Amino acid sequence: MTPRAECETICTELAGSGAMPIVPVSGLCQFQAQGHTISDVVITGCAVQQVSFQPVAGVPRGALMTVSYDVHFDYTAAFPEGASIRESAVCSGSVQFIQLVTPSRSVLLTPPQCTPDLHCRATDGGFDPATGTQSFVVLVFGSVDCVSCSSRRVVENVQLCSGAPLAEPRQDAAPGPGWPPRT
Amino acid sequence: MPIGPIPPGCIAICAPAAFDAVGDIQLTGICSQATGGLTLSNVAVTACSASGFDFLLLLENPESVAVVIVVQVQFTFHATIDGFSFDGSATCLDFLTAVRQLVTSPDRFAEPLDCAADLTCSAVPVPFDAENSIQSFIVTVAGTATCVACSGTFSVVAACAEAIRSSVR
Repeated sequence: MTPRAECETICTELAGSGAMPIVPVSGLCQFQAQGHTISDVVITGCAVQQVSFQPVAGVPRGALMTVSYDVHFDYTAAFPEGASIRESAVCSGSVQFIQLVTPSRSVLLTPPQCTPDLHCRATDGGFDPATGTQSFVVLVFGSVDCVSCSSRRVVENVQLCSGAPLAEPRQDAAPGPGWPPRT
Repeated sequence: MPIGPIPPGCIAICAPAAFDAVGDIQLTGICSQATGGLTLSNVAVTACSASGFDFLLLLENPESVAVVIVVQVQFTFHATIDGFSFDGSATCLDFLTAVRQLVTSPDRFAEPLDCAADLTCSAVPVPFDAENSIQSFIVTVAGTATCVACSGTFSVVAACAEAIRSSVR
């Protein structure tokens, strides 16, 4: 193979990305009542607030994910003196878990570059009058799209123009039809 | 300070001291069990165990370990489906993950990780989720995690032939 003058032939790993569904995970959300009991809970929504990814040693395709969420709900607050009112509140919680986030024969980029598309659904976990705690079970589901490098090394003609790779370092990592890598 | 004469059969080596890094684990999470269409009632927990662990190093957080804990909740229940009903027992199995900082820089964990955990667990059933046919439990895990760590500073130690033989694992 004779590369063109402005090209360099190098051995490299191709970058790629693609949505990976996550195995649904259940987390807990606990809301502390202030001097009243909680009943007639109606969940009005569940929203994923933040998702973070941490690479894990020995699990090149995996990441420790931390997902925080808000559960919105209405409830009846009954006070010891007999009064009761209808209220709205938000319960905030989070869950951590380890998931495979890149396809087989690939390695998660470090630091991770991931775009989560996660959602949650909450169900009533009951009110514990002994501790004054209203619990929710939060199911987190969806997919994540992480940039990864193929663990297969391929020979490519790469145009190494002075300035261009430095000026656009993310270009090689952009999601596109380059996945799976050509062989 | 000069080491001075090394006794015959001994060598002087630079070695970081090893120690046990211990941290508390206190974690509350969910164990969920699909019931395959059975509607459960009278759910009662008979046992909870947190006896399986895996420890993982976090590449960008070398002072902490991630502990993946296998929790098993044994429970009894009354089940109904299509007008039939029966009493039974089952086990909910799930994973809880905790991240704990056990060392401070420049100390670090021995690699591969050499860790142990001593955990107790308790579980409380939540109301049956009839819409999705899932029985969940709020699981509380408490105890300690211990990992072998290496001091960030080096000491000069004299290692003599007999000591070397006996300390090689």
